Amino acid sequence: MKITKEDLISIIFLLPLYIFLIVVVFIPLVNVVLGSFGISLFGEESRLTLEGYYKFMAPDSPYLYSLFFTIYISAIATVISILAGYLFAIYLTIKKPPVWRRVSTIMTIPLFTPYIVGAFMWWTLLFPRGYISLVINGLLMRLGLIHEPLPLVNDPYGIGILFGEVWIRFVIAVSIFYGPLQMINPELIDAARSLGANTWQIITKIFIPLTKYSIIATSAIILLATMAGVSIPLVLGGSWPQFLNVMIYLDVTTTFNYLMAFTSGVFYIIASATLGYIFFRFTMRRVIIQTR
Amino acid sequence: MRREDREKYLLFYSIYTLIESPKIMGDQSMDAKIIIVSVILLVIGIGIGYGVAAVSMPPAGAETVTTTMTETKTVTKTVGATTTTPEELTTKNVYTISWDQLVELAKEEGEVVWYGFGSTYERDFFTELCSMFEEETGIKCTYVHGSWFDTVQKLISEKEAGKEVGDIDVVLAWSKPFAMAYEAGAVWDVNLAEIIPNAKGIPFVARYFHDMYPTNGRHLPILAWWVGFLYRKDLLKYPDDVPTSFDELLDWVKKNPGKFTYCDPNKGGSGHTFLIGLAEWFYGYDKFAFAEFSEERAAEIFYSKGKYDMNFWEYLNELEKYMYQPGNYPQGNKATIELFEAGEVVLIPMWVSITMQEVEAGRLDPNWVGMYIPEPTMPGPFDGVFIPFNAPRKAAALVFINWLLSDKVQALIPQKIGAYPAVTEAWNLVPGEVKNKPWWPINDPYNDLVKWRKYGPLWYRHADYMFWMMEKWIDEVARK
Repeated sequence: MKITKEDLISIIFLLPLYIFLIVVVFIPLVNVVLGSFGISLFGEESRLTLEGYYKFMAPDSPYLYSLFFTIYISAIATVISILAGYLFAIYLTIKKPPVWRRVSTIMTIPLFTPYIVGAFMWWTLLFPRGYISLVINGLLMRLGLIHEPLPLVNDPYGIGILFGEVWIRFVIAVSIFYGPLQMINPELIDAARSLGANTWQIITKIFIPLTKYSIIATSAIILLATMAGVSIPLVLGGSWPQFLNVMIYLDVTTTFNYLMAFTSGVFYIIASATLGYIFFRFTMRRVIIQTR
Repeated sequence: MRREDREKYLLFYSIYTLIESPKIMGDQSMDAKIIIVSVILLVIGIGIGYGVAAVSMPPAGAETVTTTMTETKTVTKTVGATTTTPEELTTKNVYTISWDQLVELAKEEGEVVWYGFGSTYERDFFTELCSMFEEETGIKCTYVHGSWFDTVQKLISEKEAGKEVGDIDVVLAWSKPFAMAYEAGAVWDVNLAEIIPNAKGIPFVARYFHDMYPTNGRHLPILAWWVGFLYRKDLLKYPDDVPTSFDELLDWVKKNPGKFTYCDPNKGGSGHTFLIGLAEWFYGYDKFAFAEFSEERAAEIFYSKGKYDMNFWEYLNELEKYMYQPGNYPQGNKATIELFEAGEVVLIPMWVSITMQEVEAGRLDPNWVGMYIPEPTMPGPFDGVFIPFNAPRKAAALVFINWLLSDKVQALIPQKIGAYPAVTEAWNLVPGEVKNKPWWPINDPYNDLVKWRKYGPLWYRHADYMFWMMEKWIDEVARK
């Protein structure tokens, strides 16, 4: 294949980017994959082994359970964030509250708050003497639904993690949904109303069909981001079950078990890559077409 | 004659003149030249011989104090010392150089960089120590507060990369990161305990072992953090209302359900220190004391029956049933003490230092604070420092570490960060009002550090068994 002058110029211009991607993305990925087989790229003792994979996939393996727990809690956080975010964006689209211009900046605070700060903030609110914990438990006990306070943080059900994740992801969902909803022709809404459609029908027959790819894309983004974050599950999560990335963190910093850390990393990459592929392959193009 | 030919002729003529000059001038000048040359050669020979002797002979009047396991002191005087300060400190000359020469070399080096970790209290205290050292010695001191994990990873990477000159002179580390660095060859391989004069005040075992890991003197403790049982002094009276020993803990927890907890051992040191102490009581300290580690042996110990006809995990699961929010463990030291501060629990294993820091910060009422160490005892870590293999200013590092181990500095440690000094006798210099603070253990012999260290019981954590236990705890306790 003959390389033309234009090709050469393109290569030269893109070379810094390629080098950056190789050094920052490709080599670490290769290191993780090789590390999961006990092979070290950087001079440490190597010993080819599948022990990491056996340990990860063993029945009753804490790692496999952690992966399921991670996906499970991330999925619930995603569903709550998408539902709440979408409905709130619709409310803003339909009602156009005048006060929104003034309060919209406050709502973006979670976007600019470092995750670790947000996590500790929620910890103080949810721990047994935190305000939110007192209110929720007080209410539930008054209604007779519980007889002793529920642990809302560092608990085995991931309740604390859900609070922390939804607080951040909800704002992201609103920010992403608001744009496409604004781009829907208002005459469609007027026409539907004139034909007798109620709000629910407008939402289900107009808004959702016209923004469905945005919903799918946003779901993928939020799910991936929730799975990848470590600050919130580390601070708000319990001793068991744990997010897989917390297990990786402990393997590296406490027990120095790099083999299991690399192996868990491989499974994380597979899960993220699969979701990413779905996002880019089936939705991106349609999102662009739809918004045009 | 061509120019180049003329130059050659002049050169040859000059050489001829030089060779033939004795014959031209007569024998007397030849004799003078021979004498002069001989004298010069003699002086040069004497100088070389003296120099060789200076390098190979040890300094005069130097004393080496060797302390054996049975505490007998052997004083070995070495003779023939050198007065020449070597330009660079090596693993050989560091043992022969006098302390004064070391200080001189340190001053020439002019700087020491110290990497540490800990809470904001430790950060502020270590920074203050650096300023004090600089003021007293004139050697610039820089403290860098960060993560022990990152520091050790950096040193290991430098070792692998063959970086012979680094930028860190002294590193504060506990057993596991020190072990990692030592095994990677990233530690300067000299016996600090032999070289540093003030090290002799540290308990012998702590000088050569850290969490039962043999340091060979390459790691020198500068302080000892300790865990005790923190209890609500206003609600419970010692010894009647609290479990004074581990033997009484399970019964006490059953009688006071929901009032005791400990932190997740993988998230906080008070948790894993408490658990290894419990294990050492449960199976006997002799099972762990300086024993070799193997996974098989660890499994054999921890799955065997100990007290109450239970294995260790069964005991912990039984304890869990009566703990605060069974199955929920606070995620860290801070989370645990916050439950105590909120009044949710009345008894927790907790670091003395963190207790002090919470009281000083106004988050914990000192009238609530009572501390004791349950019988048989609680093991604890003597944390300290090592010098990296590629430290650029090793003499300054040695002088700095010696200064850290001076009585005056050691006496500041309990006052500033609530830890014990590594040098036992320094406790006598701690003001009475500090010793009377409520976060120090009240029971005998722990209320007197000197007595405690001299007569015991002084238990240590076994790092390898502890880490194995921490990993298994997730499967055997948290998941059940």
